[in-house]
Amino acid sequence: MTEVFRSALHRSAEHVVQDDNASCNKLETPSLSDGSRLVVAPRKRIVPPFILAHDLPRGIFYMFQATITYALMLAVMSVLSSCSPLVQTLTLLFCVGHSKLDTSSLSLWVWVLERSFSEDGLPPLITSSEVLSFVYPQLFLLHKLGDSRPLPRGPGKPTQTEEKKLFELAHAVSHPGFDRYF
Amino acid sequence: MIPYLHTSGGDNLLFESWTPLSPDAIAGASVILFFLAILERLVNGVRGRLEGYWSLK
Repeated sequence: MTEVFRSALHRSAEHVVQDDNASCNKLETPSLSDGSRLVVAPRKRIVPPFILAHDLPRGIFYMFQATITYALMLAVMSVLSSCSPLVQTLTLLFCVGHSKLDTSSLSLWVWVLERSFSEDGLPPLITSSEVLSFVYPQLFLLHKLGDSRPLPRGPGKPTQTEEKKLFELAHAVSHPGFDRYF
Repeated sequence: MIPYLHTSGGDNLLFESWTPLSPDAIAGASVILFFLAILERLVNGVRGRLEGYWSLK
């Protein structure tokens, strides 16, 4: 039994090595059994290369920005906690609409959900189904304000290309300059 | 912390010691938060520019 597993592992390892060679060397075009040629595209770089002189300042800047964003989020939350639920919901909608799928808006949504299920005697902000119904209009607004890239159709699972395009759009909005790597 | 809509001060802002009470203090806190937000956008812009610069290298 272990022999079978070992040989299977060995074969898959060989396959990976061949695949790596094929993708590294663009000129290699292996022939298929029917005579047609298989063109292997080179792998796209989605993560910038590790260069210490770039990655250290990148990390420091990110740390600095994350600290400020977190402090601003705390300030907004502490002010909002003393407002009426209507004002809270309207402010959150404004913030989420403006921060465009940023991580800080996601933590605000988490806070909304926590408030909705907490038992501290305060009225819940909105129910989880209302939160879900807010997510699609946000994507729709993003789609309308930005360039017209396709949205996932209906409540079904988006296709891989649609998902990739949405990810690229959200990434390009929240991380300007990063899209050059795509 | 008063759990309903109010326009008076007395809410804590980030730190226990930072509780703007008077209208002047609330205005000052708003200005500080405004410039903090501008600084955050500035850092975001610098990060994007740096990424662009590094990607061209």
